[in-house]
Amino acid sequence: MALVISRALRVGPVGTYELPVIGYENLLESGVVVGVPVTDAANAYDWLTYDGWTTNAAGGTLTLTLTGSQPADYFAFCAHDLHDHAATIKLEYKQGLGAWTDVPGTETIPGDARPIVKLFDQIAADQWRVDITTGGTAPTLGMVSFGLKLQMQRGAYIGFMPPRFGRVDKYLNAKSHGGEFLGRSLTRTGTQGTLAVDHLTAGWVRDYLEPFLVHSRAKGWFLLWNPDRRPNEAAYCLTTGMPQPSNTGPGYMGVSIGFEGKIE
Amino acid sequence: MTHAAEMIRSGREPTWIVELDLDLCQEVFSVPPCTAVLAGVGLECFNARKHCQDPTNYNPAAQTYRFCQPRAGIPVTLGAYPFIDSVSIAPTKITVGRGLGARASVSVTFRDAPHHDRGIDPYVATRTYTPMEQGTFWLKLLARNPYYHGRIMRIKSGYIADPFSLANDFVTRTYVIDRITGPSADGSVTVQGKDILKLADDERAQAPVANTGYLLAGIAAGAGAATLEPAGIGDLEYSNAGTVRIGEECMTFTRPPLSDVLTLTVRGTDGTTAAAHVADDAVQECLRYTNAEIDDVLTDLLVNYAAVPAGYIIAADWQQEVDDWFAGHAATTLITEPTGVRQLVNEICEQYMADIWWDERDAEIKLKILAPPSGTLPDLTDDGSLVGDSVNVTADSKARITQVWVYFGMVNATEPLDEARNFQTLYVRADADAETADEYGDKRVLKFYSRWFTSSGDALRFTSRMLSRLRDDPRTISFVLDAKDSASWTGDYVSITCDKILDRFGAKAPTILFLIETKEMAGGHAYQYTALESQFKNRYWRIGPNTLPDYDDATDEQKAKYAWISENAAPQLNGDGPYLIL
Repeated sequence: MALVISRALRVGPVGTYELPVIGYENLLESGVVVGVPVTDAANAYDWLTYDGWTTNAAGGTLTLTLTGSQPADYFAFCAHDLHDHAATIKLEYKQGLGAWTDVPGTETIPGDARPIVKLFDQIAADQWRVDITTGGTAPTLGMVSFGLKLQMQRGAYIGFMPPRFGRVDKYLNAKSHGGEFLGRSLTRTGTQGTLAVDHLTAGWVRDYLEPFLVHSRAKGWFLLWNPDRRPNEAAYCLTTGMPQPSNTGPGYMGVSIGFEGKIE
Repeated sequence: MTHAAEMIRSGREPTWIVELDLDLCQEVFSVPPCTAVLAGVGLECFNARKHCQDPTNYNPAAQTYRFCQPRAGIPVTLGAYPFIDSVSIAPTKITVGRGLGARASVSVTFRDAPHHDRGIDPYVATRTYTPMEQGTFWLKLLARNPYYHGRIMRIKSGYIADPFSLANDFVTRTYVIDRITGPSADGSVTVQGKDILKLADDERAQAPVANTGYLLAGIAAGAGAATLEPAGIGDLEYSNAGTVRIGEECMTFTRPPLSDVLTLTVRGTDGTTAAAHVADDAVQECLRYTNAEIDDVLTDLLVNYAAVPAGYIIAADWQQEVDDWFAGHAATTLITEPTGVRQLVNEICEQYMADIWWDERDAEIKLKILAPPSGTLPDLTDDGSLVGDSVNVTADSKARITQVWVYFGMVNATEPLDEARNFQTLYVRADADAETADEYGDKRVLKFYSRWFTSSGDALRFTSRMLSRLRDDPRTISFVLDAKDSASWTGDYVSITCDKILDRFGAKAPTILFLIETKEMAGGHAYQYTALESQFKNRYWRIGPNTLPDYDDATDEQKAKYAWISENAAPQLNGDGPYLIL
């Protein structure tokens, strides 16, 4: 029997795609990126959502060239207005002098501004391309990311509040002197929640979770809390506080990752 | 959607957008006409004046930096930095009949953060450092752009709608940047802005402008010419004809171009006496207005002496206001020494019952004469408009008067303005009834010294309106309205019916108010208003044109502006009440 050791190996129970997926590795940070159009192309992968990259009226591309073949199995984007421009976005790959090939399952025509995370069977290539085509007007993309996903070892069911239900809104009401309802004002500030996972193996925490925690100190990340049952409930998150994995039993650890995020 | 539609929508989402216009050179470094030479890799300028390497060819235009609140719903296409922490607005306040009033100001606190310099530094691609790891947004921006004073800032208050529209769903207030402070201990930066009328403050604006010329040699009392020093000062500072003051004497003059010699056409004008003057005596050109409409005087003072951009005054509106309420009344005076524009404007506003204020929403300077309202007024009620427990009524008994005295017909333009002996006429209007024991039982006199009035008609009009306004304790009413009623703004009239203002029977008494201050509270949600009870409680009229229809066929606007004669003490044919002469 062969023993395979691979970064791509994920340990999990039956129903793996019910386990939360975190997208933080971004190959766009690992090579040379050429944007068409070139203006502010870097805004699309700087982990900031207030600035964006605007394509041409017909669309645009972000082409990544790596020094060697690297794998990816997730594609995610947020802070966009693709839906206002009848735009299609997809991820493509090319190895060496081969032709550009669509990454299966990534082609999306967004219907609203929600973050989207697409998972696919792992592909390795030395060239990748984010391709946007439009209905004739130029959309803006705030954040796009693709690379190897981090899938949690365990699920997060009991007590976990899905991001779509974790809205943090502020309200102001106005009533007249006579008791009539005059008006209501709303301030949306996004969503918040906590991803608490137990029974993680100590080795897994060190090998896979810790690099993510280091990343999250300065940068955002995508969360798809139940890829199989809730594929449309993605969020773009910023960690609140500093998650601190702790021992929960012999060889096991637990961690609570607080976050605030965008769901629209 | 529009701002008006969004503000009445339940579940509206108010927010602030702030824009700062800072200078940015339109040239490209080292590309003609820019003659700058690159001294090393990444050492280009930042297209700002501070570090410009070719000032001769510096070509600035306004570059807008846009900021928003860090909240959901702001589209990435807005290109706004989510750095706004808070916005605090101190609104314009009209001091009725007292002049310019309180200046509007705004204070915006921003948070700071590392920034990649894209969209800020035109040459970011060539720099040898990583901008995201070096410095923060505000500290770098201020280091590159220290010349922000007097530049424009816009505060946009509005609503996040679907689709988002900065043009349709936001109201813009315009200010000039006064100062930027910070960073504070928590890293925040505060930008403070003032309204355009700050330019009229005394320390900045004087009329006439102070002259630096003086006599080359002494002149006798009857001399017909005088030569100015230093050479060339004539064209620099003096007109080709006008009035000058030397010592305590005024005299008219003419001066040809390219000459420092004044031909003194008439000595000892404007109540002064011709006298001898010695070398080095200062020669100050005077400012004269003769039968000038007050809108023209105010515009001249603000634009030509206070450097207020003319575009902020809608001349046609000002003229219409004066034509409606002050036709036939003009201002005449001679100002012989530099005087604060603010003082002069305040005098005019006080004596011609006018209010001037900066309307930050319309971005224009408004002029309004104290006069009856016209048209249908918004009706604010306890049930439909007034936010619970927000109405407050205050009577100012100290402001009440029983007599108005006005001195006019200035004798000597060089003598003090506030001495009775310097005026030909004293006009007194008194309310004898108010002084009786049956009413207030006291005598309260308000005195004015007018350099502007020349006739008893001016004095009669002024004293009549002033006494009418302050004969009884003036009342100030404050209240809060929901955003849905915020179309009413400073300078407007409204009608209020509430349980804090009652008639003698204890019933709610509809009362006309003049709004003197509007303060936006929780942005886009509620507004606090301060208003003065209007003295105009009846129907007033003007003589109308021949083309007016009969009363029954007239429009509401015509009925509000003009009068129709009915039987003595009897109503119009349709039952409406008679008009009273204003």
